This record gives sequence, structure tokens and C-alpha cells, in this order.
Amino acid sequence: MRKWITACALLLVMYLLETTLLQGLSIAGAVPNLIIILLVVISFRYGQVNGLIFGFIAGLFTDLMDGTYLGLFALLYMSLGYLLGFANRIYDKDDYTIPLILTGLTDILYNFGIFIVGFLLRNRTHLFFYLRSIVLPEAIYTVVVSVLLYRAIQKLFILLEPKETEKEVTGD
Amino acid sequence: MRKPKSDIEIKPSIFLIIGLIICVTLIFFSFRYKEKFAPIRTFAGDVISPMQKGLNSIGKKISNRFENAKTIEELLAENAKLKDQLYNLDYENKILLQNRYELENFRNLYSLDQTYADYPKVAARVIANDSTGWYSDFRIDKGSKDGIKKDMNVMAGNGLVGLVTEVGTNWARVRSIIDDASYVSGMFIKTNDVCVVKGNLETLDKGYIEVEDIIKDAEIDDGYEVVTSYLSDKYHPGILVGYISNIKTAPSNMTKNALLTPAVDFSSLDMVLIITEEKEKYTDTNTKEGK
Repeated sequence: MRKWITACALLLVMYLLETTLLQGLSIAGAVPNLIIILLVVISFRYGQVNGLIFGFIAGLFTDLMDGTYLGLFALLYMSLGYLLGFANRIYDKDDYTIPLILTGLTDILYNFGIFIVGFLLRNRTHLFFYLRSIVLPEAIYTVVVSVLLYRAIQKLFILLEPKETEKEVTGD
Repeated sequence: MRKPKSDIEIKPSIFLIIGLIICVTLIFFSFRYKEKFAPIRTFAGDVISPMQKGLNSIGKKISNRFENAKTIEELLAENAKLKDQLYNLDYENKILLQNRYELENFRNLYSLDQTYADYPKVAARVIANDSTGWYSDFRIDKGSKDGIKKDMNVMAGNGLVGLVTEVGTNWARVRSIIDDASYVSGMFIKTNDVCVVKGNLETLDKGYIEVEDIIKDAEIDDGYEVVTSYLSDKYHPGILVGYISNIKTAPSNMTKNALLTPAVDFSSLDMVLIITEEKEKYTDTNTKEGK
């Protein structure tokens, strides 16, 4: 339970930072996607089901704030959380390289999803342009921020867990 | 959520399928019954927007701190320059006031409609941007409490910014004209030829948006001003949208296309003005009073 309260509180903080303060620190128009970093921590550490549930919550929240219809971002984040959960099998809390790769890949997939629904379906077909000017800058920026944030968020979740479940990574 | 572990493990893929079904139903229902979902969105916005406003003002304070670190000499030099400027502006202002008096007289003679400049406006601060890099919409700190309604026009300086798309108690969402899915019916102030101004993320990379459907024999040239047209159903006529360039004949050979540099600098949008007069009302009074 404590885990979910923390996750939701962090989600709120990440969203607020992303839409306000970080807008002033954008590089090449890109703002890091902090929610993806949080999703990677949760899915990687707690597995598919938890990743899926958190993805759904995060997506629904984004839908409420930035979307036009409810469910689109939820669908996207939920699927990503589920996919990320596969990496839980090779989870190691001292591994800081794989999460970075996962963060980059997830961010690319996330933006690719938005591109398909919001752009490709409206006949905007220059995939490479969007890849170069939006998807990649955001992915790189997110990975860089993740170097700083991943460790801290994971540490926070480990601290919140009761002692005996520390080894049991898939436990709810 | 510390449930006792059951012996039967439910496969994660089952969760995924359930989740997918929930999402698809949600998309369907929120698409079909958009109004029914509006209160939920309004509530979420009412809760989150004050936080965004707070954080945003903290950010402003921090960046102001950096600017405060100017030296006295710099400030004195700036002060002298500004005094000079003020003197000049004061003089210009007097002349302009005289001209304005004359203009008003002429307007009365011609019984022209009031321009958008006379409409009541509300100033608002931009408090948050879209969280994705794909859309150009943002939140402002004024809402229905301040008389903001959906489809009101938003300006900054003397140029068009966009349209209010969603309103909460103390916030509103604005979609700017540079958003990829946005379009504005415009016209050339010099020739009265109409056109459609479309947002395009791809050309925006170079600082332009698109202008389409200009009739082929329109006598237009680079640098001509595009304003919102009388044909628009949401925008008041005569608001400056931007300046055109790169005029080309469309592949269909029926119309011309061009690029448009917006009159507003969207990269540093801080304060905006919302025209609190709706377009419908305007056309109503226009048909009643005009002619």
C-alpha cells in the first residue's frame, strides 16, 4: 500500500515538474519524460502486473490533464508497463545500465505511439523528421535525467519496503 | 494491498487483456459521451492547476533572482536609456492621441464596426505546458470564475495565439495556432483574399506554419499580413496572425500555398490576453445593428 501511495505522489510530482519548471530547461524543444523513468523503476522492480497497473494510473492521469479523450495515454502507458515487466526477470538492484537502456527504448516507443495515433493517422508521414526532431531529443534527454533520478527513486522504494520482502522482488 | 498469496497465480497477460478492454471501452465512451466526462476533467484540472501555478511562480522567482544580479552601472545606463526612450514615447503618444481622435471621428462617419481592440479582455498567465513534445497547448490561470468560456480567442501582444478549448473553475486550456491539428480561416489585409492557416509541426521546426487555399490569382507578395477573416466561425475578424513568405502554386494548380511567420513569439509565451467577447454574440449584434 505504501508503495502505491508513494508511486502516485511521485507521479504527481513528476507531472508537475514536467509541465512547469522543466519547460524552462528544455533543450532543442525537448523536455524529459519523468513519468517514463518512474514507470521503468516500478515495472523493472515489481514486474509486469504492477507495471501494468501503474502504467494505467499514470496514463489515465495524463489523459485527464493533457488528453482529449480518456484512455489513449492509459492504453499506451499500460502496454509499456507490461512490456517493461518482462525485464523484471533479469532485475538486479545494483544494475544501473539496463534501466537506462529500458528508459530510452520506452520513451521512443511511447512517442512512436503518440506519432501513430496523433500524426500518422492524419497523413503526416515524415517519420524520420519526427524521429530526429522530437523522439530522439526527448529520449536522450530522458536517459540523461534518468542517470540522476533512477537511483534515487529506486532507493526510495527500497526504503519503503518492509525488511523481509527485500529479496522477494515480485511481491505485492 | 497486502493480500494473502493465493495458490492460483493469475497470468500477467490476463491482466493486460482486462486492461486493454477497460481502455478501449473508456476511449469509446469518452468519445461518444464527451460532455458526461467533462466534470471529471474539470475537477482534475481544478486540483492540479493551483499546484502548477505555484510551481510556475517559484520558477519565475528563481529566474528573476538571476536577473537581479545586475550591477549598478548596468542599471544606471539602462535607466538613462529608458528615460530618453520615455521622453520620445511621450511625444509620440501625444501625436498618436491626436490621430486617434481623428480616427474615431472618421470611424463614426463611416459607421465602421468596432475592431477587436475595443473588446473586453482578461489577462492571464501561462502556468503549464503540455507534457508531450507533440502538441502546442497550454494552461492559463484564469477560468470560468473570471468569465472565460470555451472558444474564446486568445492573443498576446497584438497577435493571435489560439483558442480556449477547455475551461475549469480557475484554469483553462488553450490550443495555439501552431499546433499541428489547428487551423484558422485567415485573409490578407491588403487584398482581402481568404486563406487557411494551418499549424504544422514539421515547418514549425524552421519557425513557420502553413498557409493554404489562397486563390491562384491573388496578388500577394512576401511579407503581407494575414489576419483572421470574417468567415471564421470562432475567431473575431482582423486579429493579426502573421506574415507570409515562400509563396508557391499548389500541385493541383488551382490554389497557392505559402509559409507564415506567426506574429507571436510562441517560445517565450508568459502573459496572454483572452477576448471575453464570444464570436456568436458579435455576429448577432452585428446583424441587428449593422446596415
